[in-house]
Amino acid sequence: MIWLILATAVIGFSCWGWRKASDATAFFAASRSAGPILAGLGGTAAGLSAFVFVGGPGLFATIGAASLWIVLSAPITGALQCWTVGERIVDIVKENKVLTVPGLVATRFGEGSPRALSALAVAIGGIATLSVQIKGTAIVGEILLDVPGWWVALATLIATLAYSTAGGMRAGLVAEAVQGGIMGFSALAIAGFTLWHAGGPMRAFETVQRLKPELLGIWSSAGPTAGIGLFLLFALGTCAQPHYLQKFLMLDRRESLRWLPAVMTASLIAVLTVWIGVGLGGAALWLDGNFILASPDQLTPTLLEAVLPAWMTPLALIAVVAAVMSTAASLLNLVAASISRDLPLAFAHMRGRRGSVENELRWARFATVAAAAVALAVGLGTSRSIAWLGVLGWGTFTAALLPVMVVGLNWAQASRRGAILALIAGPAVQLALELWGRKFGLTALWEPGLSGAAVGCIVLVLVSPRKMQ
Amino acid sequence: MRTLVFLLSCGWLFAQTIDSPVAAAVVCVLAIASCAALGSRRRQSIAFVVFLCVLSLLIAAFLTYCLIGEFSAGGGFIVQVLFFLLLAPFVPLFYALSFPNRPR
Repeated sequence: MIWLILATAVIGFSCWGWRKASDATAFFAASRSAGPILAGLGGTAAGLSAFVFVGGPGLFATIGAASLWIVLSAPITGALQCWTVGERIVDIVKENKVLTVPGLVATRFGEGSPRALSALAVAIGGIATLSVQIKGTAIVGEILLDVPGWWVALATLIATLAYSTAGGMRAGLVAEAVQGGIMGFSALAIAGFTLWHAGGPMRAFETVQRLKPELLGIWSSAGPTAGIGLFLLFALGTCAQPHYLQKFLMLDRRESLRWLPAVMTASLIAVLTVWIGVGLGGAALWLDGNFILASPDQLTPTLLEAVLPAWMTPLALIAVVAAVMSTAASLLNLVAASISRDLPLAFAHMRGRRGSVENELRWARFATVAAAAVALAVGLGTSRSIAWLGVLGWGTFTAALLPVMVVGLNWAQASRRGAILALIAGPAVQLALELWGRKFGLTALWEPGLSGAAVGCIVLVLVSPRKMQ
Repeated sequence: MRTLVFLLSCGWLFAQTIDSPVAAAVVCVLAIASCAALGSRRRQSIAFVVFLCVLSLLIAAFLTYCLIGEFSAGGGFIVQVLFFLLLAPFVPLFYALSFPNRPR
């Protein structure tokens, strides 16, 4: 019955989106119709994913409170984003009517290579992050519904594709805001019930302290430098995540920025209670022998199946599906924009032609479906854990876009050549460290995303001229 | 700006290379404060500067306590949760209250 209602809602919503998304501004920038609540809830829903519901509590069960370094920056990220890039982006949009994140880079550094390189980074990071959503859905669906995981992943992706392809972000943003509300409510409920079953927060804390005190240590085996690295990666990294930056392109007016951090922070804190609550309460119940875990990623689904009331399983499943769909819709739109708009515009400029894309909406819809197919193959084929796939996607965006967005947008002397080299150097270093880390175990020493961003920033400031041109 | 970005970026790479948590913490606090200050249009506002100093001191105190604090098992976790809950209402509220009515 629930699935029938959801399917009807998706079909109805897709039809509404098809009617509303009549041009590129509607498809890529939601007709610039978002106020603080729509953009804030949508931003949180897009930024938080299966990673939070499945990977987060699982990571807590593995490395304990050290995993919280990923979420500890949450109270400052909303305001930091607005201070650092949000206000500048809104000013640029007012003058230039930019539709995409690579479009912002092109407005600041000129057409051609800057747009092409940032579009490539968005496409690659987007596919990596999309694959996290798909893998998360497959794991949760397999345990909770007792059907092959890829069925659930495919069904979720098809539902997301329906309204993303039909209505782009015009439909996607409204869906994300609703999904953000569902995620917040469900996270509070699941965390509350888990802690209640564990005897309350203090009892859960005492259980973990008694049976496995190392889980309450604030530094993992990787050490304090790695912990601080995660804190910084997720604090500054939000300023370079295209699915957050995209929301600034959709704001209806500058004044909407005022309450945007408050909405984002409140919804972020509500959803993140699942990480702390299910992490602590679930670990206590697991250590107390209430259930056996096959792998840390399975803490949330196993807990739902073995301990929590039966009515909570569909609620959790809807929350996870909402988390997956919201992030997937944004990322599909970003990847589609990169493939169907930004890369053609950049290549046309490189060949000396004036940029315009014919049949833009048709190509955007086709690119949305293609991006989903690639992400499905990657997500179901990879053997990496959800938590670290999430960090990989976040790191790719950070390494590529942090130098050009944070430094580039705010420093008048940043040059086109510097931006191009930073867009190459950042992801190259990040990718090299990822590959090197997997082979020689050096990732613990050098956090790939942040190291890539640092190298990108160095390249940008060294290559840019000393005097204003 | 050039020197600040260069020093912070090199500082971060250096802190990781020698695996120095103290250097990492210093870069972390300065990087967050610099990002907010350099991007914001109201860095000449006294209230903004004071707030940023207080925020930086709070983050610095938290990281210092985490690095040198003699924790009993579980003490660190409580400090983390308190830091999380303490900052959550104040940072976005300050942003809203200090938002300029007219853009420059």
